[in-house]
Amino acid sequence: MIDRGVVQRLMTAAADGDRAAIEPLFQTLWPVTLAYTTRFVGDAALAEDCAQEALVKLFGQLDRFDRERDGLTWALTHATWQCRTARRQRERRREEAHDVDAAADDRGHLEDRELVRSALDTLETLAARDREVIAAVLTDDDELRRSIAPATFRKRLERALGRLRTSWRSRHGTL
Amino acid sequence: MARSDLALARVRSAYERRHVIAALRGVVLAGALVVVTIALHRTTQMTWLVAAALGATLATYGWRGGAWRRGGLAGVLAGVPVFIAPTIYFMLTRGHCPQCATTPSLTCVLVCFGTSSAVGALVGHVALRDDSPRRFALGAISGALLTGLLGCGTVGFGGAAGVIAGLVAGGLTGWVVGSRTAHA
Repeated sequence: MIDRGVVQRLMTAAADGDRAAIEPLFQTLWPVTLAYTTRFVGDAALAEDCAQEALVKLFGQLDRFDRERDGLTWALTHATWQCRTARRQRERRREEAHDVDAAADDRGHLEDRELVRSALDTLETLAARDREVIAAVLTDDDELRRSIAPATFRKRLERALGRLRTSWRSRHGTL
Repeated sequence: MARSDLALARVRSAYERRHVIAALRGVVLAGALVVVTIALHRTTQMTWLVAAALGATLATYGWRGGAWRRGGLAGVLAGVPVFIAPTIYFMLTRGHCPQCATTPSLTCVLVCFGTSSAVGALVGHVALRDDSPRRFALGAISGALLTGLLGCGTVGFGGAAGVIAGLVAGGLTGWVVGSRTAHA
């Protein structure tokens, strides 16, 4: 159980410029502030950060300490603000991460669509015979395959793919 | 290094940073007073000596904090009437006292003594209301003394003596009267 009178006395002394009161005041406030921030934010690491920041701010403003007010309440008020700020920042980071994921998905779809469009444009540059044999492979259309000898089909496909590759390189470079 | 040790180091650093900033403010305040002194008064070696002492004193009080800092600032504010008293006197006499710059007349000394006494009494009275009245009073009297000397010190030794005597006498009077009123 923390003694409010001790906190008040040490805080008054530190506010009056007594350097010797800083460490005992910190040692008195640290556990109670840490327990408070842990209850507030839940996460232990974040709670330590909040307690540290709250006490740094408190000690940086000690010369403004109003002796009529309760010192412990003042310290915990700093901790409350710090926890609220930390929670807001954490929520904002989560939202930003979600937005980044969504944007990455959108970007992926867009890239896929552009790739397909480029492939179709390149395919358009080929001769009808070459397009025919490539389309037959892509769509599993066996009609053309059955109408010619398998070796001829393989040769025609090989030549068509070679021309497609050349056309792609001339338009978009190597992949 | 444990997390709490790191926190303690940061806390100390934040505390000291605040006090150093307060000390720098004291130096800036002293610098501003010196600029006004140059504009209003004749500057001598004594002026620079007093200005340096004022800067060092306000910086120390600012760094020390608490009642010293409050007293120092209150002292500078209280010293302003003493600081401008010779200028007002010269303006009212329309240059009838040009010799005040080197050999002050009795009137000059009395002007400095009178304003210092009033300010000293006020400081002594106000100091009793502070949580640390002695520190506040010492800080305020020294702040008012040095600020007053920046003005009245320029009219010579008589002016400086008037400020010192007035502040001590007024301060003691204010302190004693204030104490009696508080106990009554």
